[in-house]
Formats: sequence, C-alpha cells, structure tokens
Amino acid sequence: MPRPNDVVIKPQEEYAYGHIIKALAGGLYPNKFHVAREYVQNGFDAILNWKQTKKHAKCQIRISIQKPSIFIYDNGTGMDRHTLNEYRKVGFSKKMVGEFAGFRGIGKLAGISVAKKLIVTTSPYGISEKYILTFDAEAMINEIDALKKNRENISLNNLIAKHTTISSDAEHKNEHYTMVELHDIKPDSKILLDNKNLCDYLSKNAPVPFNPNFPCGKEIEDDIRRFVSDYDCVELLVDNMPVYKPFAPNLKPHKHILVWDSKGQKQKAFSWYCENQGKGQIKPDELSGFIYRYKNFAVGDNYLTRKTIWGASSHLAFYFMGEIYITVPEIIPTSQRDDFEQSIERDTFYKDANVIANEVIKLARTSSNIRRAKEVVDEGAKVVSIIGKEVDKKEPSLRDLIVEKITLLSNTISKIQSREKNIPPDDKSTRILAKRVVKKARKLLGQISEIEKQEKKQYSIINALRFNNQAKRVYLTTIRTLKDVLVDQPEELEVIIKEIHKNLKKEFGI
Amino acid sequence: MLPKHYHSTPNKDCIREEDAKLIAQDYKSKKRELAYLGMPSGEMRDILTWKKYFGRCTAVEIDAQIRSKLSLNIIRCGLEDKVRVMYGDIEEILIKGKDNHGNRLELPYDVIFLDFFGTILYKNLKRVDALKSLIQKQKGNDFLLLITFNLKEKNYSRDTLIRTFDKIRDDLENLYSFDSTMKLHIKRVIDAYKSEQTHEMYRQKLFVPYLIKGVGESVGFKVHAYAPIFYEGYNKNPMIHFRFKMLSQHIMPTPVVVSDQNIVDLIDLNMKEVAGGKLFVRREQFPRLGNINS
Repeated sequence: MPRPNDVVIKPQEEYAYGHIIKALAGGLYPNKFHVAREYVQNGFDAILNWKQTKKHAKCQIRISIQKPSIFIYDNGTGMDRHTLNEYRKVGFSKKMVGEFAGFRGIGKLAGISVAKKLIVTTSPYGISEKYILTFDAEAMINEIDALKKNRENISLNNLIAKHTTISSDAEHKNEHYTMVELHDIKPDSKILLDNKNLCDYLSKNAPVPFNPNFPCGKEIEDDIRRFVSDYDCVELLVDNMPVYKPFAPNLKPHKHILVWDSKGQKQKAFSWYCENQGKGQIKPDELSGFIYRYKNFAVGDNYLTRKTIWGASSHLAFYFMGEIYITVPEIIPTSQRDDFEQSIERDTFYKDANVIANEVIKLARTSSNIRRAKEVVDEGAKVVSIIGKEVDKKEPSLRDLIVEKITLLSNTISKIQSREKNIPPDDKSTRILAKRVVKKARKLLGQISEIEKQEKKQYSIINALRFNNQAKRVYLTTIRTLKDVLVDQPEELEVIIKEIHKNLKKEFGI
Repeated sequence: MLPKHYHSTPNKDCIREEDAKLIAQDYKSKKRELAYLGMPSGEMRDILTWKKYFGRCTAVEIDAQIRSKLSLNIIRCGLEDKVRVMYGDIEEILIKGKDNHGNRLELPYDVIFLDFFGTILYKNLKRVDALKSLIQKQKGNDFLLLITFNLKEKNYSRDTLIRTFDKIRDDLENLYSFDSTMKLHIKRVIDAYKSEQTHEMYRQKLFVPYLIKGVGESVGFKVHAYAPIFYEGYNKNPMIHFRFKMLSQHIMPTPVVVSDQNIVDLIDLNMKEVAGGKLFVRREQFPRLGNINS
C-alpha cells in the first residue's frame, strides 16, 4: 500500500504531450542556420565515432541544396535499425557529456522547426540494409492544432508513433552513412536554401579546416593538435564546394597562449591569435576578435569573448583574430551555442582566461607604440623635406610663416625624441632615419633663425608695395587672423598666404 | 530487395551504350560539355554512364522516395554541383518551365531523355502538349531527344492514334494522287497500322516519329529519326526507345522547315530490337511503302 506522501505512477499514464513537438518546431531555433549546425554536429560525431575504428578513413560531410529540400550527408558510422528507432525519442541520447559535440538528444529533431518532414536515411557498416525514418512534422502539428480546438491533447508517444515510420531497403554491405533530408523547407526558413549564406555560416561555426590560402593555417593547426587533445576537423562541402574557416588578410604570424587554473595545474583552454599587420581593428569586423570553440564548434561570436574575458580596453580584442579552444569537459555550451551554461566552472574560467586579454592588450599597446613611433619619424621626414626645399628656394612666403615653421620643426624634434625608444632595436632603417630627421630639423631651425634676423633688411611684401600705415595694419590683421584660425593647418595657411601675395603683386603690377 | 525502378537490365545497358555513341558525336561536334535533362530515377544510371559528356544535368523526379534515393546518389557521387533535381510531374514542368518549388528548367539542353510510363498519348493529350512546349522552348538549339516508354500500358486515346494514321494516309494519297497502285498500297499499309491485331510497337513506331517531326518542323527544326528500338525491360515489360536528332534551322524567317526524311522514310524505318543485351534489326518488319517500287 502506498503511503500518503508517495507519488503513485500509473502504468498507462502519460507525462509528456504533443505540444512539446510544437515547442521544438517553433521557438527553439530563432537562427535557422543553427538547425544546419545541429546536423553537421551529429554528422561530425558520427565521423569521429567511425574514425575510432578506422583512424585514417577519408570522411566528409556533404550538404546539397535541392529546392525545396536540404540534404546533409556524412559517411560516419551510420545507424542500425535499433539506433534509428531511438532517433524518434525526444531528449534521448547515449552520448556522454564532453565526449561528443552533441549529447542532449534534442538537436536531432531540429529539422522540424524548418521543414515539413524530416527524413533520415542511414546504413551501418556490415549490414546489407539501409533504414529510412520519416518524421512527418507537418502532420503532427496539424493534428495537435485540430485537437486543441476541442480542448484535447495527444500524448507525445501516440503522436510520434502515429506520424513517424521506419522502413528498410537493400544497400551494399560496406556502405556506412547517414543522410538527413530537411524535406520541404518552410517559407519562413527559405534563407537556408541560399548556399552562399549557409557556407558563410558554416565556415565560421562548423569544425572545418583552415583555408589552405591562410598562410599561418598549417602551423596553427599543428599547435592546436599539440595542445587540444580532442581537436579534429572535417571536410565539409556545400554543393560540392569545400568550406574552410575564414581568415582576414594582412595578419602577423600567429602566437598562442594557454589558460591554466589558478594553481597552474590544469589546462583549461588553448588560444591562438594573429595580430593585424595594419593599423587598428581587423576588417571585416566579423573576422576580428576571438571566438570560443568547443569540440571545434564555435560558441557565441566575437563579442562573447570581448564581454567575458576583457575588462578594460576591450576594443583591442578586435586588433586580433583568434580562437579559444575549451579543453575541460566541465564547461558546456548552451543548446543555442551562444554561451556556456552558467556554472562555477564557467565563471572561474572566464576569470582565468583574462590572461589572454592581458597578453594581447600588452601586445597591442607595444605594437601601437612601435607603429606610432614609425609614423612620427615618417611625418618628421616629410616636414624637414618640405621646409628644407622652401629654405633652399628662399620662398618669399617663408618670412610670414617663420614662427609656424620653427614650431613645426621643434615639435618634430621633440616627438621623435620621445618616441625613439619605442622603435625596435632590429628596425635599423627607422632608427637611422629618426636620427637624420632630428639632425636636419636642427639645421633648418638654425637657417630659419638666420632668415628671421635678415627679414627687415630683405624683401617684404609691405615694403615692396609701399603700404601706408592703414594698408599695413589691414594686411597684418588679415595675416594674424588667418594664423589664428588655421593654427592647426599650417599647410593650408601657407597656400592662402602665397595666394594673397600672388594676387597683391598682380593687382599692384609688380 | 531493390524497387523495380532501380534495376537495370543488359538490354537497357546496351541501349545506353548505343545512345552514348550519339551523345559522343554531339559532344565532339559542339566542342563543349553538354547539358542534360532527363528522368534518371534513383540510381541515375543514365547520368553516371554519360557523365563524362555532361557539364550540367537536370533530373526530374516526382516520387519523394526515389527523389531521396536520387539525392543520396548525387551526393555519394560528388555531383551536387552538376546535377539539379526538379521535383514534380514532368509534363507540368515541361509546360510551365518550372516545378512547384520555383526550380526552373535551365534551357537549352543538348540531350533530353524522357522516360515515360505509358505511351505519349497516355494522360490524354497532356504529354503531347508537354512535348510541343519542350520543343518550342528548345527553339534555336540543336539537341538529341530520347524517348522511352512502356508498351504494356494500353490506357490511352485510340481515337487520336487512328485519326493520326488517317491523316498520314490522306497526306500520302495526296502525294501519290496520280498513282492508283501506290494509293492502294498506302491504304493497305495504313490499315495494317490501324488494325487492332497490329503489335503496339509498330503503331508507336510510326506515330511517335510522325508527331515529333511535325512539331519539330513547325518551330524550325529539321528532325532526323533513328530506327526505334524494341526491348524487354525489367519484369519482361515491352518497351520502345526512340532517338531523334533535332537540328535547328537558323535561317530566319523560317516559314517551312522540311526534314530530310519524309513520311515514307519514317514508315520505312527499320524496327530494331535489343535482346540478350545485343542490338539487331528485327527479322519481322512491318509492310513498307518503299518496297512497292523495288
């Protein structure tokens, strides 16, 4: 006899009802491409499984878009009838957490959120049969809706049993594969039929190889294999076009860093990164920053790493391109793969991973200082070159701009002197140039001072045009005003003054 | 057990080899990869046999299961970028130029293989309309037209067939209006075609080439019909295979195009047969018109 507080489960009682299917078909995947990722993930797991027996097997995931359907094929282990039957069980998976990319038993039905039917065709190695599971999502939803009008519910068991079928057909004994057909893509999910967008999404999210044209790709992959024990990637083709991880152009050689626990005993992550060779953040934006990867699938986007491991100067993250591979099983991605599940391990990891941010911030600042030092030297070289020519040609306008020229040269000297220490010792050409520019600037300062002394004795536009006092005051006020207004634009000022002199000479017939 | 439509037979393989010779000729003369439109079924043996000649293929399939099988084979053979699948009724697709999912025919094609269930007159005249529409859409482009169908299916419009034979007889009688002997012979031959006792293969041997010639000429093609081939398909089903070279006449305007073969040539075409995987001219031939003068 049950005691009063015991829960009594009746043998025939149902505890899950049809609306679960509607929930799966509705809001679980707001980003339709996540559905494709779920099947790539299952295919990848099947391939990893197959590779455990055939280590050097040539495995592929191939996606074919044949409107109105999408086919996702892998030549992994395939499923026998019993395993395929388990495919119908919602939330059922025998995969261990941390062992494979998927483990919840939900993603396998993701297709019903975008397609009217899910058709899985599979054949396991060594069996001369293939099995075909048809999951008629549209019929299920129609039935749920029809019943709902009469306030009725159908149990999940009955619903699935009624609208799914498994059949078999002959197949070659040596074949092993699974093909998922997302049959008749729904109108709100048509974006999946665009192979360019699909390739773009998968290139960033799926465990695909580095692009052979990425100069650091091979070396980075070697490094990842050394430090990430479960790293693997798969050849993925969409309509026969290989999909690779994208890379930004003009990157410096890669570096890597390991994330350890606070005691320095357990490796939690491995990160590689390349710094922008050019100035500022990497373009396009979507390729900049760091991406978390779990079993080589992306988790979140480049803003997730910025948000979680960068404190200050988070914009510097986008001066780099890189990945952070999680190497501990305790940190698990959410089903959306937009973050990791909240846990003490995750929060501790985010703190530990600050080491990545600190390292790259230091690197970014060093690079920025070097770059700025070089820029200052280059700018200085231009200044001395221009002023040097003017001095050599004895430009008449120089007399009105003596103060500006002296300021420019003095600033150049002080800027170079303050930045010179940032020029790397091995950059001899910049060091030599810096010294030459300072020397030349000093020499020009001396020459200009001489010109200033002689100014009264030599040519002056006021003397040449024999301005009376009033005209002289108008002229000097105009020049002073221009100097005030264009204090930050000495080149503009110079052009205007030269133009004024030219027009005055023309007007007065000189 | 594989479904019957997945099976090939030595006879069908032999016909594919014969067709391959014509396809190879076109490939050589056009100096480029060819475009194929057909109904290759799940195992797509046609495409796999001829793939070295093809740059792009459109495969039409109506059955969802066969379509899945076809897609699986496309993927397994790595032909995703070469083979597109259109999903629906072939006649609808030929008439509308697209399937119900917005996939359009990528016209023009160089090789078109229509593998029908039942004769051209099956489904009333929709198939005839589809053929007319297809040939019209191919206007201006040479192509090879291959048609195969099952002769077992008798559920079609006999009236249309008989009317067509009467029209052929009238045309021929006009042609030989001053030759009473020939007129008598024409009547005998056409009556034989009309007879219910006549094997279906002979009726179709005249009807199909006459239809294609008429449609082709009306839109500017010279039509060359090759000798039809009778064979036993899977489950010993009687089948007939037609091959036409459709040669576009580029002289514009084209008021009337006259093929090199006339109606007498069509009537006098040999009936070939493939049996045991070998091609030969059938010993039994239907009365010919050319014989009267010889």
